[in-house]
Amino acid sequence: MKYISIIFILTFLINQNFFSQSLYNTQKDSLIGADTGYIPNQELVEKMNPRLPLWLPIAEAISVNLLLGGFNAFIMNSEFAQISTESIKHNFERGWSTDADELITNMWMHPFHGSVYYNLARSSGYNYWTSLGVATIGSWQWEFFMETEPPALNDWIMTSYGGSMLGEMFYRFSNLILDESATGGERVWREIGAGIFNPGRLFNRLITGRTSRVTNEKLYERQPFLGELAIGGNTVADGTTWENGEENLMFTMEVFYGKLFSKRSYKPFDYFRFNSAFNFFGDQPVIGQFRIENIMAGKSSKLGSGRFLYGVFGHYDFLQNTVYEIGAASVGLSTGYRTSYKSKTQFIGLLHGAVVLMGAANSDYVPEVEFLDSARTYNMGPGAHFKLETILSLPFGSLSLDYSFWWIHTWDGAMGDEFITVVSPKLRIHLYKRWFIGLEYLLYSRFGMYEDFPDRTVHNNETRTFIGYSF
Amino acid sequence: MKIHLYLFTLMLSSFSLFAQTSNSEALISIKGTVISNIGEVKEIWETGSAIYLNYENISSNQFSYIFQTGYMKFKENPNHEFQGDDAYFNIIPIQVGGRYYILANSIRPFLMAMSGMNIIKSNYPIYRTNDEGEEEIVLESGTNTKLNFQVGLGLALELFSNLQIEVLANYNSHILDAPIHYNLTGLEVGLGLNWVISN
Repeated sequence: MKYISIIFILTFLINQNFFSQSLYNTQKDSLIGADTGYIPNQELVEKMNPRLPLWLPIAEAISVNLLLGGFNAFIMNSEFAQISTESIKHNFERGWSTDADELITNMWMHPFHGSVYYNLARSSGYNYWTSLGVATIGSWQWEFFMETEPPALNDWIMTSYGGSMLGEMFYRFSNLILDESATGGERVWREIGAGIFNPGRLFNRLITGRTSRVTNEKLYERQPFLGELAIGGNTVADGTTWENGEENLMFTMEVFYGKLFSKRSYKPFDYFRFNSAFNFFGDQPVIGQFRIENIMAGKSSKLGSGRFLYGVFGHYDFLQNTVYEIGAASVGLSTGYRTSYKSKTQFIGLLHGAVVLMGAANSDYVPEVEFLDSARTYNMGPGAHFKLETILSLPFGSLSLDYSFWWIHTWDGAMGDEFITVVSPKLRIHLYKRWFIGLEYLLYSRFGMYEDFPDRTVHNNETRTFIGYSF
Repeated sequence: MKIHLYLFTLMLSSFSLFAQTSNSEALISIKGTVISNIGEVKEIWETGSAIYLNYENISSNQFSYIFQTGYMKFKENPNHEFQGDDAYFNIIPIQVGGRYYILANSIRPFLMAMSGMNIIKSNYPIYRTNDEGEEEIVLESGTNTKLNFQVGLGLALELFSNLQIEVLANYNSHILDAPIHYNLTGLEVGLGLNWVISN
């Protein structure tokens, strides 16, 4: 690790004079300087893509449940899927409960499942809020009717609200890929590409004949975005030493979608930030990080030479490695400031305070809790989330500092409270054209206060080095 | 408790940020319901009644959002033995939610969902028998704050231009203790009067 760091420092010193472009600067390819987005004419959209009746996406969501339930019951022979009228009656008598599935199931797979419900409605012509409602109905039907286990409130929250967050992000991604003026092989690949992100939309496009329609009309909203793909190594240390963690190959993708601070008012997902990390060839779980932060509503105005913003933001966080596990879906108030677009050195800062509707954090004591599945490694419950994001754009690159804090009050697990912080400074250095190299350090701290166990304090280091490409 | 207050404050403070539609209709409603509990709680608190007061804003012909509060009172199951004669189990619900009106006529069938918090006042703890045959407390006596969830359907009928009558049926799934497999579940039917205050 130290050799890699030395190489980075040398590269930094040698290349200082050649840094002509940076992320978040006023160049055309950067987030700030990009052209304004495209919002299609609503009358044209309604004419070309008329809104489908609301019962249709609801029926589709229930059909998805029946198909998946049938697969689980008859192909997989899963015990939880052996439903009957008696199991449904019991579920209504029992009411909401919580379940004890693995973290990846509860905090990532359920939101992904919810994104399919969501996009069945979104691609039928409904807005964020109505589509969230359809995801909520789809998940509710699954929980009460499709499992012999009692309906799990945590699943419902993560599938509906978490699903809406993943779903709207996938919807926006598929908007960037779809092009109905394309024909032949390009068109096929565009439809498949958009369908991978958004299978619910692909299904609706197939049944409405939009996959084969050729038109030069531009029907789908596009906002300017900045993406980064990077590959590199990371080391997660068991403690605060630098040497004891195994090195791991990591692939990261970060997307800033939409122009924050540029509009007077915002609708859901006019801006979002997606931050992900995937691990290969090591002990770390494949999905290391999957975080979304989005605006729900907000207003922006001039403040001095810069701009001020306040609004309601949503947050979806999933972080997992061999040392720590965090999952949370939150909503809350945020405020931000950025310096003038004309400044050579620019600063952007955002401060968020949010309610965690459902969260999870690992705890050493959970396996010791009676009546819980011994595979469970985390506590679960509601709480609070605070986040500070700062980015300083410099002539040679950018320096960012993120601070995240979660408080999870245990509903299910080792009773008590978990307080988790992640501090992550990150340096990006521009190399050539769109290529950059970078270094990120993450300090993870967890303090657990328990009713029946001794308190616990843990600190861990993670370091990442990477080379990347911005698009 | 604090979480619910934060959520409520957040909701109120962020209200002005969301776009308002100009063709909205505002109503104030009063409703009375009778409740029949189901599941394990029925063995202790069998039936109940409730009165609700709500404000509803129909932001389009089909969708509305609702703020609701009220008072719910439950009656003990005559077959259950209490430690005294002064047993009570009362709830003040504070809810937000919405309705989807299937038709936009003078007769308007609707689907609804509500959620929020229950301020529960009871003077005896509720026990249940867990899977290991042991008794455990699921709700302590005193004042507790827990989450509530309600889904239902109904029919609103226009009597005069500014007065409607409605019938509704709800399924309640209120939380007493999140991880347990039996909570406060029940069916609720009722009658309401809606007064249109602006349109």
